[in-house]
Amino acid sequence: MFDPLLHQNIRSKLISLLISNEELPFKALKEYLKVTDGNLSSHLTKLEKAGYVRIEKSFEGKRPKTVIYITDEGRRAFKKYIEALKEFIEEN
Amino acid sequence: MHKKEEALEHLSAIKSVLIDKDSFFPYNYNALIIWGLIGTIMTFTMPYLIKHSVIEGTLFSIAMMSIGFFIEGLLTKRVNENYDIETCTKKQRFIASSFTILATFAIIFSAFFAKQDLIVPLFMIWMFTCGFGHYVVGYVLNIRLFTVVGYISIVTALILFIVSIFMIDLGDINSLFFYICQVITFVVLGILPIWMGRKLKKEL
Repeated sequence: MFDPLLHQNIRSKLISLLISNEELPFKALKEYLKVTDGNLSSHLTKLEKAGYVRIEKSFEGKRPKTVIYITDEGRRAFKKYIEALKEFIEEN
Repeated sequence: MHKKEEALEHLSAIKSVLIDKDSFFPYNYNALIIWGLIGTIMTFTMPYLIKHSVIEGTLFSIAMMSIGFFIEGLLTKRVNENYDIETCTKKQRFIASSFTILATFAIIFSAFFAKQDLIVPLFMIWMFTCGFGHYVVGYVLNIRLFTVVGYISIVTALILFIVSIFMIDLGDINSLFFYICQVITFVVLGILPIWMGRKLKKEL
């Protein structure tokens, strides 16, 4: 009934953050969501596989940097998910 | 029932990020202390300078604003580096451009008023524009303290504007009304931002 990828606390917060900021570095997401590197990576991999986010890895000098972008597909899925949540609450 | 509670929880978590205070906004509140100091310096020097020469007063305002924006930029850059943010976030860009527009507006209006030898209203112009800026920031980031300080500044400026209609010489920098406005402006543009900066720093 609900998108299983988005119906999860960390991932729904993560997508909400990306919607209000368009793009955010991995470090910023990690600090905000208070999760470990591994935990965040696993959530991001799932979202990336579904095409909801785009992950760009680059180097800033010698330091690796990862930036996460929300995709149009991600926006659409999130909108649908919110509508489904609202509908469910109204019906029950 | 359990599913409904779960759905409500999810919706409220999303709302907290998209609408409420929980949004992501890296900021160094020391910048507010810097703005408070700049506000104090300007309150006690700019009216005399601009009365003496509109160009000198205007250049002084531009210089003070540039210093403020420069320091704020540096402080924000440092905070952003902690999060790997290269330039700035969308909200930071919006707030910086709003304040730049407001400062430009205040500088141009100040020069225009000073040319007509209307020195006292300069206090109200700056209080109003800064208050409006605080109000916008408070609204965008949902920080109640900013909104309240914004309201206080705007209302104070409007009350003084209304009172000034009944005053005779608004170019007199030795009148009692001038001193009253100067002290009020010092409180609003000097003390309030410093107090706000210290308070928000403690809350972090």
